[in-house]
Amino acid sequence: MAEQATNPRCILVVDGDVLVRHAIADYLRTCGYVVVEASSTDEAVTVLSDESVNVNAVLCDADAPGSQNAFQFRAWAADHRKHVRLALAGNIKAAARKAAELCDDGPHLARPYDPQAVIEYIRRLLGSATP
Amino acid sequence: MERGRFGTCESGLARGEKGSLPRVGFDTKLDLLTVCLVTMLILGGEQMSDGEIVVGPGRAHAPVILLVEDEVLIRLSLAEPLRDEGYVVLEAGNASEAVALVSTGHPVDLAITDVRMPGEMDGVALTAALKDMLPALPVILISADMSPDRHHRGEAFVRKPFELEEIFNLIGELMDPEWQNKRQIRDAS
Repeated sequence: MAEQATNPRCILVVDGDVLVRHAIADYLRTCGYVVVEASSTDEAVTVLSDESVNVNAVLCDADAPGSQNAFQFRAWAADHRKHVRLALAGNIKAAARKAAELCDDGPHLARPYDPQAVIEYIRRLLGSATP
Repeated sequence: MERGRFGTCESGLARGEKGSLPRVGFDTKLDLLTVCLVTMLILGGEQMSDGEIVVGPGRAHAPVILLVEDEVLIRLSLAEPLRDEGYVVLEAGNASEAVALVSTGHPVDLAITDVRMPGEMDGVALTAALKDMLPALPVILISADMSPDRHHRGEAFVRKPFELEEIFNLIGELMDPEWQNKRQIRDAS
């Protein structure tokens, strides 16, 4: 428990819309998480490939820009960063349904984000009520 | 955290969070704008009649730094130590994102921007755009290869790689109320 207090969990937020990304990242920081922001799946891969960044969970927009789409990125993460829990979010119904199939846990996350729903989802994903 | 030279992808990363502002939840851009404006009012930002946001002296909220850098690991390795120092850091991956963030009316006390960035605007053009929106906003430009002779409207230029302390000292200087007062007098004259 003490370790969690000094080393809060790290969430990677991947979203090409800076205002949406800033809003949810800021809320997660307020809740005590360390948040890394990526504006594309390429940036997300760069972050996850860096061993000095210990990411515990990824919150990724299903429509995030990048050379890989979100679903390819999800497959990459599953291959290369097996310990990282990943949540996909979508604001288009079809994308959201597809995201739901690929989420690591529970129902899909709707975008625009409901901050409280995101927090509850991440807590469930990480199996911990505290950051 | 051991502080080394920054502006390279080899920098270490700090951990821990300080300085985040309490914020209510929101889920649309319109709501975000509303929250930003309300937060600005609650935390002491002042809105002038022409829409210009006052920065510097009289600031009652945690200092907000806009950090614009397209290399995510460099951005991260600068953003985290700044947060550890108590600053609120808004991250933008390019000039367009920075303009979008500032356009919401979110209070910003200082901007740090890389010069070479993809997109329509580089750091020098972004600095000019920020100065048009917020004339009193101090801007620090960072670059590995920009000529010191190139004209820009920022307050300072730092060459990459740089010592983190150098940036911290510069930020402290540019946010110092006395410096802000001197500059306002200079600008008025």
